[in-house]
Amino acid sequence: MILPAKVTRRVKDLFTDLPEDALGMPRLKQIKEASQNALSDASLIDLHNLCNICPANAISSTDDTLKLDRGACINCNLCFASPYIESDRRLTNASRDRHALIDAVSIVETECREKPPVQARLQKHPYRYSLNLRVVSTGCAACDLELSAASNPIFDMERFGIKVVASPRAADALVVTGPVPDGMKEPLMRTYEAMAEPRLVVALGSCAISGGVHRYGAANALGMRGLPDVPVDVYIPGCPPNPASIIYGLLLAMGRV
Amino acid sequence: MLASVQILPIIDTPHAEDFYTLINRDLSSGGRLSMLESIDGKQLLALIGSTIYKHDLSGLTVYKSLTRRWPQARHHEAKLSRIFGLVARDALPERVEVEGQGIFEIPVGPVHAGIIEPGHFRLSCVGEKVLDIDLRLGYVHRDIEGTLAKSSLQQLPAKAEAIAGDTIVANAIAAASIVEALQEQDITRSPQSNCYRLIALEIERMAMHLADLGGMAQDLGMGAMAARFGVFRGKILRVAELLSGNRFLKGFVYGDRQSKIERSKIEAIINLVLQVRREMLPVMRKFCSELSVAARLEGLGALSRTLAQELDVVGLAARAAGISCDSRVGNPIYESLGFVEALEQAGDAYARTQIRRKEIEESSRLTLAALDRLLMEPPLNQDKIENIKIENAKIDRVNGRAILARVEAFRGELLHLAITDEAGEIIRYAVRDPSNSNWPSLALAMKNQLVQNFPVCNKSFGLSYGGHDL
Repeated sequence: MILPAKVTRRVKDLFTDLPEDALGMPRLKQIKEASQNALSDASLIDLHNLCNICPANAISSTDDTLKLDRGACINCNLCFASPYIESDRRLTNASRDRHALIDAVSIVETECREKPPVQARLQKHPYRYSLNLRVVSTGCAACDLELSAASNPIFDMERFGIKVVASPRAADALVVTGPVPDGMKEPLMRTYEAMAEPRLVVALGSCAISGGVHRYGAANALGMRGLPDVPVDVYIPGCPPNPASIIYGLLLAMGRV
Repeated sequence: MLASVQILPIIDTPHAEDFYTLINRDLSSGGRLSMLESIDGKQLLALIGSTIYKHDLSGLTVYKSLTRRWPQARHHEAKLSRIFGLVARDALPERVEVEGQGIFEIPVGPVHAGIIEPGHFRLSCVGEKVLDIDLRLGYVHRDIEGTLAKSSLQQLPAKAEAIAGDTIVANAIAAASIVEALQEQDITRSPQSNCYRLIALEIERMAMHLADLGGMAQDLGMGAMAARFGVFRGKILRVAELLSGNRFLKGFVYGDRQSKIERSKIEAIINLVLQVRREMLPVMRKFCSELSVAARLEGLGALSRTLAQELDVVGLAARAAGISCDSRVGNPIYESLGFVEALEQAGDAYARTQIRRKEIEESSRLTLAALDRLLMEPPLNQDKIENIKIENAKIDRVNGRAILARVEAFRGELLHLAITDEAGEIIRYAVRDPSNSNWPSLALAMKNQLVQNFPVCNKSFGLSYGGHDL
């Protein structure tokens, strides 16, 4: 939910959590029993199953850590049956830092939850009061539908000065949805090159962040990882992200939250 | 079962002539070419009605094209070339060169001026009139079929949701039905599962038809109407969120969410659907009876019944041309809820808009009826019939066979075909989105229309790029 602006003066406080009956993205629970000693065999089997169940390979474990990459999660909800996963209903999970999307929990030590590195903040925010978007869709279009929904009267992103424009020449930010397969690499690069600097790049949805389920296909669909020449400013996880989440991510790109 | 699942034998035709003779025979006697496929690029498979013909190419990468006789094969042949590199010999030229005084070409895309999927169109025009459209698709080919074939059965439905973001539920139902047939398990985890799947499918249909109606309103310059459709769609998505926890019903078809829904929640959902229906129906009727809408859309992009039949057009575009082709007709669950198919005769953009309106009305009624049924005890009687049917099907071992699932998605009939080897492992997973059959008809419908009508005509078909390119 996005509250009406008069409730608070801080933009960040406008974003409340999703309603109780909604499932957000998965989040790793802290493993309490790990503080005493190593996990029991049954729990280890649970952990093994948990890593195998994820269709997008977003959950992985090494000897001492369990990792969940929200940047690859496709919201299939299969992992919610596991005792290690809880629902994260926050709408403020977009980030400037790719690593902040990865949840890591130590399996053996008391110290839990790796702290994300300090975010590299932009020195100046040229687009603080308005942001014109150019959208390049390269995937299944679910993120496109949610981005369109972000400009409907319910979410109304134009109240923050964000709108979609019809030409890269007029755009401040490039929004990429989908896993950027081979066929879309050139059109995407040409759109990026046609934009004037300073330009921002937003990776919208798990496919654009990491390739999602398409990572292992034959079309080299690795999301923005496949285009290392294009630096990404903001990552918005979700499959697809809630329109409010998208607006939060765009406000992050503008430097307003 | 909500999806109709068939285990099809593959009829092997060693001689190329037999293959083409059989195809010609079936298509001339009114059969529909549903798929032209291959397992690994070494053979051709043609799915016509409920029969699969197979022809081994014996190492060749060239085959005789079907397009001269059967133009509907064009997009299927393009898919074979995109995925397997198979070349169609003697095919219809990719495009007819349109040349002459005053003729110019407008290139559009692949990156469009809005939030639209990528596709490249070349419109050959004279003045404001479109003479021909060259559709170039394939930009969003992500090899999702390959990913699905490699997937474990447990994860298959979840991965299938990534085929097309607007057909999430229909793809998940088709994939889940195939998995259930392969595992030879009882089709449902709970007896109400079919009912929940039906509700999910109809919610998706309403939401996407509303999105398309909103897009039409926007293109026709009716901003206020578009905004209202956006709000209605938002409310329908809230129904989805109440039901499944996700606005796009992800993870609802196959997960264990269905068993966790309480009676009080169903009652809340019924109230919300009733409220949306009460608000939505008058606005849709007003939109469709608006003079300026009718004036702009009537006669635009008309597809005659004969042409639609010749091109094997499916779904909404076919129903707008008077062809009854809804696979929900005859489905026992839909029949028990008194499903009525929406039909129009004109075949133009206005007819397609009317079909959308009628289908939203019917879907909201079906959703309410199915929700009411969930509240009643005992649950569906239909499930008993279903279980017997599936047991009969199970007698046939599924190894080395083809399993076909059909679901009526919001655009039309969606097909998933899984081919297994002797050990029962999937070796090829093929998807036919209804768009694959309907793209050629858009190009024909736009002939001799005004170029400024292209966006609204395109929207009236509402075809998928992601579902086509796979």
